[in-house]
Amino acid sequence: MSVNVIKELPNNTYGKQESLKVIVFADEFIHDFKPIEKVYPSILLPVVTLPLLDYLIENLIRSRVQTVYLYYSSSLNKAKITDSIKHFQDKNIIIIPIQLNDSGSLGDALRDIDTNGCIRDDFILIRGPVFANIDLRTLMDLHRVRKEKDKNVVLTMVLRNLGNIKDSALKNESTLVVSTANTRRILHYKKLNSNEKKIKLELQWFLDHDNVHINTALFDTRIYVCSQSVLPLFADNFDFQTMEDFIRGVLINEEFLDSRIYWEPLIYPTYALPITSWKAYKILSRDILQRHCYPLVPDTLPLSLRNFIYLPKIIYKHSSSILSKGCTLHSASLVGEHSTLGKNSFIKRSVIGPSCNIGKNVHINNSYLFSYVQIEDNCEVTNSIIFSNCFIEKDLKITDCIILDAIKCSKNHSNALIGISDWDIEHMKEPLSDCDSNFATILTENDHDIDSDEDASLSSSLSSASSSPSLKDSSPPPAFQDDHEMFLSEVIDSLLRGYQDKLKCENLILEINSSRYAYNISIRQVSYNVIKAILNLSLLHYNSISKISLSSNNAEYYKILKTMLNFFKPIIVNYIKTPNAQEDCLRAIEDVASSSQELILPYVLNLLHFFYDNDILFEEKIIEWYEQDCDDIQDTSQDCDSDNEDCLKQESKKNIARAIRNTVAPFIKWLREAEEDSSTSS
Amino acid sequence: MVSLADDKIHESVLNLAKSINYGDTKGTYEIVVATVDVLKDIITNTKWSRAKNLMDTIILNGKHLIEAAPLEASIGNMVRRILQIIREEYSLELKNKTDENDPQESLHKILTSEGDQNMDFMKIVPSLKSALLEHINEFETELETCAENITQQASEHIHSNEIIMTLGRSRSVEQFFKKAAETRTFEVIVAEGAPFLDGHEMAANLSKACIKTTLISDVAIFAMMSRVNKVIIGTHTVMANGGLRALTGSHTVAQAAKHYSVPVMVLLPLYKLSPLYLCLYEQHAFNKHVSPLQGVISTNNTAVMENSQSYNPVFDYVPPDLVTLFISNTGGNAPSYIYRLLGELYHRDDYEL
Repeated sequence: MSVNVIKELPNNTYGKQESLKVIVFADEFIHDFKPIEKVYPSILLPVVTLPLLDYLIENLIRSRVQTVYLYYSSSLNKAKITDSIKHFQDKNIIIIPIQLNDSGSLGDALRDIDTNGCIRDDFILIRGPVFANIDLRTLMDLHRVRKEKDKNVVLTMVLRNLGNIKDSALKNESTLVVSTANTRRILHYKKLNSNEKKIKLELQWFLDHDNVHINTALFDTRIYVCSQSVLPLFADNFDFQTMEDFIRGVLINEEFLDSRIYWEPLIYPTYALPITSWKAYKILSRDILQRHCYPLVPDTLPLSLRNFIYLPKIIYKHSSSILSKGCTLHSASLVGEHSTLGKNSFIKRSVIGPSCNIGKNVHINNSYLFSYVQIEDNCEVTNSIIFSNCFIEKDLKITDCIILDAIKCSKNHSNALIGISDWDIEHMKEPLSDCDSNFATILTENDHDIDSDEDASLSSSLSSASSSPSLKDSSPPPAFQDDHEMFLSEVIDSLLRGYQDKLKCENLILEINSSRYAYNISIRQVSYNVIKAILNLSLLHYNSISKISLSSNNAEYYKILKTMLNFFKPIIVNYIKTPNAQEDCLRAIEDVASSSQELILPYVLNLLHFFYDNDILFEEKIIEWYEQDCDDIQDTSQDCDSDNEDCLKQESKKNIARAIRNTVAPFIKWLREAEEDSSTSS
Repeated sequence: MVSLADDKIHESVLNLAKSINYGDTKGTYEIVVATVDVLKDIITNTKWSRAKNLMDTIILNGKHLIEAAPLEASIGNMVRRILQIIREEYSLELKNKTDENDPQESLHKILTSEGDQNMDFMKIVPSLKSALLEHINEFETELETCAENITQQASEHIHSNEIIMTLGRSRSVEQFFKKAAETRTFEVIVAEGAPFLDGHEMAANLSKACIKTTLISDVAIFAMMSRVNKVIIGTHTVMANGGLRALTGSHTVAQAAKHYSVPVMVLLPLYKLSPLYLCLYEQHAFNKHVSPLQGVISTNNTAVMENSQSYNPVFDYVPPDLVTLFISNTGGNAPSYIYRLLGELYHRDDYEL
C-alpha cells in the first residue's frame, strides 16, 4: 500500500509531462584542459572524490529525467564510461551510452544524432564536463512557456550571472550578451578577449527594441534547452561545428533561419559551472566544499559519500579515515574514505581522496590528491594536483605541480626531475592561495617501475602540456590550411561539373557559396580561390585533352582557357567586385602562373587583357600590382600558404614574379599609354 | 547508506529513503505518515512468526531509513513507537493467555512477576498480528488528530489583546493562531526568519485571516521583545533533555525572551519528541548546512563567493532552560517533564537502535 503512495507522488506532481530527454556529451571536443585528457575523459575527473559524471547524473535523477543519452567519442575508453555509469543502474534513470563514430566536433555529433532519429522532441543538451544542480524540469517548463509565445525559439541558453568578474579567476570567460530586457531574447553573443578594450554595438538593436540589456558578466553554463528544430538546423548548416558557431550562425541569419535564441538566468539558489580549466576545477572544488551547490555536497549525496562528517571550518572527514595524533585539519579540507594521516600532518584547503596514505609531518596546502596517493614523511605539497596512485618519497617539496597518474617522485633526482615550467602562469593564478603562486606541470622522467611505452606517452603528454602556449599559437593554421585546400578542391569539382553539364552560372555561384560556409572561408579567400580554381580547371582540362590527342600545343590551351573564361564570366564578375577582390584575383593569377609556368606564363598577358576588357580588373589595380615590389609579393602571398618556405623557394618565387612582370610589361605599357591618351583627350 | 545489506531491506523502505532524499516527501508530518505506512507494510507483508523476528526486521529497516535521512529524527521516533506497540501488544496478548489459566491476581504475583525487560518475545502468539494492526491504525488516527488537538488548546494560551511573537513559518503555529483568532483579538509579530524568509508568507497568511500582524526583520527581535506577552514557535525536533532543534533564529528569540522574562511556548506534536541528546561531536546528525547562496550571499557576486567562507545552518539548538512550556497534543508540559513523556512513548531498550 505504502509503495503505491510513494510511487504516486512523483507522478502526481509531474504526471502531465512526458519523459524528459537529456543529451550529455562526455567529450568537450576542444582540448584545452591539459594534461587531463590523457588520463581521464574530463567528465570522469574526480571532483571532491567523486567523478564529475556522478554529480551530473545525480542532478538528472533529482530533476526526474528518465532517459539520458550519454555520447562519447571513440577517443574515450568505452570501459571507463560503462564502468562509471554501472552504479546508477538501480536508480530510476536510464542511461544509454552511445559511442560516436569519429566525429570531430559537436556539430558532427548532433548531425549523427539527427540521422539516428532517436530524438524527436525538445531536449536538453549538456556539453562537456558540467557541474550543475539545476532542476532541468523547471528549465524545460520555462522553455515551453516561451515557445508558446514565440514559435521560433530554438534554444534557451542557461547563463549564470557572476556579477563583477574583474578580479575573478573566471575573468577570461566573459562574454558580451546583448538581449532584450523583458523577453531575454539574445541579439548578440560574443566571447570577449581579455585585452579587448572596445566593443562595437549596433544601432539597430536600440532602434528595434525598447529595452536592451547588455551584460558581460553572464557565463555560459553549457546547458542548453533545445527545441526539436535544433537538430535539423545543424543538419542543414553543416558549417556549424561548435555550439558557438550555432549561436553565431542563428543570430546572424535570424530572419533567414526564422529562429531565435533566448537565455535564462540560473534560478536562485542553484549553481552551475563547466570545468574548462584547472582554475575552474579549483573553484568548483572549493564551492562544493563550501556547500554552494547544496544538495550536491559530500555529506548529503545519497551515493557512497554518505559517511562524511561535516565539522566547523568547512572540514569533511570520512568516518573511516584515520587521523593520527597531532594532525591538523586547518580549514576547507576533506579527508576521504580509508585515508590515513600521519602524526603532526597539516592539511589546509586541500582534498585528500580515498585511500590515500600520508606520512608524518606532511604539510599539504591548497592541493588536490586523487585516490591511492602515497606521501612519505616530511613532505610539503603546495598548490598542486596529484593524480591517482602517485608515490612521493620522503622529504620532498612539491610546489605548483600537476603530477600525472602513477608517477613516483623520488628524492635522489628530485632537483633534476621537478622542473617547473611557466605553463599558463596567468591562467592559474590562485585567488585564495596565500602566496600568489601558480600551477605548473611537473616534468619528470618516470621511475623504472613504469614500463617504457607508458613512460613515453606520459612524458609526451607532459611536454605537450608544457609547450602549450606555443602550441596554441601554431595549432590553428594547419586546420585553416586544410579548410582552404578542401574548399579549393570543392570549388574545382563544382566548376568542372558545371562546365561539363553546361549548368547555369547562378547555380554554380550558389554552390560555391554553400561550400564557402561549410569551410568557413572569408570572402577574400573565396575570390582568390575561385580564380585559382578556374585557372586550374583549364589546366586540368587541357591535360586531359592533351593525353587523348597528342597533337595539342600551347595554342590549344589558350583556346580552352578562353572558352572557359567566357563560360565562367558571370561567376568571375560575381566574385571580383571590390578592389580587394581584384587584388586577390591578381594574386591568384600569379600563384597559378608560378605553379605551371610553361603553360600559363605566356598567357598571363592575354588573361589580364581579358579581365581588363570585361571590366573585371581596373587599370589602376593592375598597375599597382605591377609596381609592387617582388619582395612584397612574398609577404602578401604568405597569408595563403604559410607552410615552411625555405629561402630557395622564396628565391624561385621571386624569379617567377619577375618573369610574370616581364611578360606583362607590354600590356602595362599599353595601359599607361591608353591612360595618358585618355587624360590628354579629356 | 550502502553499508547495510540492501537485499534484506524492504523495497518500500528503499523507495521511501529515495523519495525523502529527492525531496518528494517533505515536512515532518508527511515523513511520519509515510514511515508508519512503510512499517505497517512490513508487519503485514513479511513473514514472521515470533515477535522477536518482527522487531529485528523493523530495527534493520528502521536503521536504514534513519541512516538515509539522519536529520529527520521523527523517523527514528516512529520506529521506536512501533517497537513499543509491538512490546505492549505482545505482553498484553501473553497476559490474556495466561490470565485465562490463572485469573487471580495477587500482590505477591505483581511483585514477583517478571518485568518487560526479561521478556524474550520468542513465544508464538497467533493473534499478535491483528492486534498490532489494530493498534497501529489507532496510532495513525492519533497522528491525524494530533495537529487538531494542539490547535484546540489555542484559546487556553492566547488571551485577548496579547501581543505574540513568532519566527518564520510553521504550519501548526499558523493554525494555532487562526484558531485563537476565532474567539479572541490579539496581535502577532512575525520575525521574518532569515535567510529563508518564510516569515513573509506566514505574515501574509495571518493577515488574510484578519489577525493584526507585524512583520519584522530578525535584527529587531530584541527591540520588539519588550512589548511582547508571549512567544509561540514551532520546532523541528525536541531532544530528550527538552532542548529544541528549531529554525535558525529560534535561539535569538528564546534568549531575548529570557531577557525580558517572556514565556516561550513551543508547539510539539508528540511525534517530534526524540529520545536523542545533542552531541557536539556529531554535528552532522544535528544540523543541516544548506547552500549559502540561499540568502546568505548573493549569487552574482563572485568576489564574495571566491574570497569568503560562509555558513548557512538551517537549525538552532535552543537549550531547555529557555523554554517555558511545550504544548503537545496531550496538553501542556514543562521541559523537565519530557523524560516522563519519553518513558510513556518509547521503551527504554529502543532508545539506542
